[in-house]
Amino acid sequence: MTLFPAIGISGTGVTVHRKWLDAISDNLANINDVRPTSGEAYRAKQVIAQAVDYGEGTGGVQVGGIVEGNPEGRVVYAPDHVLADAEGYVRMPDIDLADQMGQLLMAQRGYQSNLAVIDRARDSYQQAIQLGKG
Amino acid sequence: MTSPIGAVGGFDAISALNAVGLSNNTIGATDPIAPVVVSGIGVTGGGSTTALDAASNDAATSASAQDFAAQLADSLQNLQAMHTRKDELAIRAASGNLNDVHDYTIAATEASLATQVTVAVRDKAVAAFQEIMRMQ
Repeated sequence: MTLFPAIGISGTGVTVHRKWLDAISDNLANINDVRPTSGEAYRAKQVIAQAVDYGEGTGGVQVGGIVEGNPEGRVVYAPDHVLADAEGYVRMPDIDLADQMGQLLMAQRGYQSNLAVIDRARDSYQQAIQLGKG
Repeated sequence: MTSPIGAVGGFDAISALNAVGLSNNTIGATDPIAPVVVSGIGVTGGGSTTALDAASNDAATSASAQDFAAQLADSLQNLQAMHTRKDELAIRAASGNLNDVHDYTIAATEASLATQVTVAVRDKAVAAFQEIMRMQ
């Protein structure tokens, strides 16, 4: 147990949302990857957030794991591509851009809201300290 | 004898602080605050525990049974640990080894708040001691 629990708990929230942002940025960076059909497509990352001790103990959130998407991806007909197979198909990751952008908004707002909690908690603690002065 | 101390209220504030969970760690033996306050409060702290302990909860009661000097030393150790962690993160930030920016800013915020708490407690304790000295 720490002296300022709210700050520590929100800190775990910021960390989880930072990792979520990392996963989204990786997915978006690889959204146009092209592989031959004989290989695996880029597997979209999805961060699984879970509570620490589920209310027992210190509180906070943590990354329970990162689930990777389907390696089969989407098979796209692109006969002009250098990686195309004999039938003219290539493999691309199965990532929905709109879905990723929605997740990006959620991750960004979650990150900001946890930082807002830290800010308010700090102000509150400082007011409590001011009570002991003077 | 007990009334002026209890009225000042500094010691129960410290007890509550310790009940919140100031933990132990290594402390620099050279800290100038600890010996000064300890000598003054250690004597008077014993008499101040009776009146308000009945009203306080178990955690506060057990904490107030501990010597004020030890409690203050504990809180200073905790403060020292916080600042050490903050400094380590600052070095990692400067050398490019920091994964999370907020790790450093949160550690710095916590260290700053803990310093303010400790200074507030120290001021209260010194004020209580000076109040007693003015009685003669």
